[in-house]
Amino acid sequence: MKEFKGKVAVITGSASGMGRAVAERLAKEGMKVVLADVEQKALDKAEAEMKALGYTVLAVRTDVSKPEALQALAQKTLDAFGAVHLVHNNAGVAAGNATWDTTLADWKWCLGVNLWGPVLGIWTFLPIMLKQDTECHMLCTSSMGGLMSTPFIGPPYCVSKFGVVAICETLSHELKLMGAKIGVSVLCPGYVNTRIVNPERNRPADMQNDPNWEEKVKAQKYVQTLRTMGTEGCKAGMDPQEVAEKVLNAVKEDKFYIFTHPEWMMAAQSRNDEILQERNPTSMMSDMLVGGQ
Amino acid sequence: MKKFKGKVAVITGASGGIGRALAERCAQESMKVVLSDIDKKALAKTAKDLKAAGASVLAVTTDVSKPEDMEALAKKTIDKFGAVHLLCNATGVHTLTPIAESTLADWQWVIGVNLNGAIYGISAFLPIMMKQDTECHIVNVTSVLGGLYALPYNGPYNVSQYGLITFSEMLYQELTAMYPKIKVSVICPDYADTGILESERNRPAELKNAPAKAKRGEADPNFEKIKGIIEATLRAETPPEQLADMVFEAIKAEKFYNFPHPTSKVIIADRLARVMEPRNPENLLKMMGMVS
Repeated sequence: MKEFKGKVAVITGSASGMGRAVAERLAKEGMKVVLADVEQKALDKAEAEMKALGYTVLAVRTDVSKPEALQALAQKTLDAFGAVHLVHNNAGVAAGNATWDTTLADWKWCLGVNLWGPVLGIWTFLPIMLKQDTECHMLCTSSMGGLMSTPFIGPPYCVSKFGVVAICETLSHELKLMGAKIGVSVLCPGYVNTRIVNPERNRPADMQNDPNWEEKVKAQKYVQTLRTMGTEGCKAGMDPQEVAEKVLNAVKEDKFYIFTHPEWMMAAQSRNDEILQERNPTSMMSDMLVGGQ
Repeated sequence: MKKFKGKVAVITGASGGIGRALAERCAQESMKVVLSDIDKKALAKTAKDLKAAGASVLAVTTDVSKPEDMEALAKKTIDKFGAVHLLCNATGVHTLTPIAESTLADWQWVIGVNLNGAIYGISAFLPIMMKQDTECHIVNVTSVLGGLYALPYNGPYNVSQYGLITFSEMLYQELTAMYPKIKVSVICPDYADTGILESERNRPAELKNAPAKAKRGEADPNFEKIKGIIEATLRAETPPEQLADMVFEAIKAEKFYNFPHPTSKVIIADRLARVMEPRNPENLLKMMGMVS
């Protein structure tokens, strides 16, 4: 997609973090922007601030793990703006610890948002784009965690992010075979200065963990080390606006893989080497957390 | 794990394909075998055949996409045999449909069985293995085409298999660091007659698609051609018994990655190189030399 002015973008998880930055960047290019987020207060704030800057904005509270919520988002988008040209399935959370310290509620919540979000976003918006038959772009947020398996941070996260890479790769193949005018990209960042390490504020009531169990898990050294690592990593991470700039360029140039942190690619390469040489998996994370034990 | 005699194996998807071959091999090794499958009739037949061959067998009808079914399977295993040493997640279902035409039911069914099935299986059995503190092994059956390379028209399947491989990799690393008596392996066959193309027979009524208005893939001129290639590949003749032998070698050698078809390495290498460069995913027909 080369022209943005007057076109319509839908971004999930856009009340804060990378989604918010991408929304503002696209609005600056002259796009009409639909903000979708589960967090009502943050969404209201983002809407007000963007309107104050003179952008054309529609805000729709959306739980991306629910098919009916995505369908309603699409309907409201079409009602307000009559078309959709760019969808960024971006909403994401992190949940869980080592596999044995991860509950089914952690799995359900994290896969619901991170994996089902993009599945449902594509299921909802792709038919609309195909029918429109105009230049469009489908974009999903994965992570460097979608290219390298990172133990102890909670398996739902990498499972969801690998899954997102798989959907995007498949979709890209298929749309090319069909000769469709829809570009596809998958965004795989390393640490970005967002609130991903503190997603619990948005965990639904029916997916809460037992607080006593949670206390016990949190008291473990590996969990504390990881939490500190994640918090500091994000604090020192890339500015979301810088990510947004890279996203915009990738859409313009129809680049499929958007890697924002080249210094992380070495770690992804070491997983690749292990697969091709059939060596059993290793990672720096295990060494850091339980080295020498 | 080097010795198998008298130990307890649980196999999901045990009444057909690689699951059945694994069950037979376990019985040959004089293991006690828990057979689990959603297909009650096929399961009863497998149980009968194995018993006739002298095996100690428990058969449990299970929908692996239901956490309560996997919990019940674990409980019945312990009630009957008192322990568990080998868990093989060998269920797999598949749809051949463009993403643009995949229904919500397609996504729910394939991800529910292939990915959630393994998650629920591991959630149910891992705590038992950890408590036992004996040598154990978890085997996840996945594939190269789907797990390490995203073929077109396999959207839900690819998602489930990319997910299953990374989950296995994380689980292996976590256990190696903290519970090293429990090992993990994946086996990634592609050219094998596993019956996966007939998986529609086991799709639950609530996830069946309404009769389609148009034939699937009609919007895509390449669909039938590629579908044919994929189907032929999946029907190629690697006997499941050969795969079961490979799994047992992997368990003995504590080998994580197992690729029965060395040619599939070319495909993996191409995809991984493409990611690292990075270069956009290729038009598959072009890659296969079918169009210029």
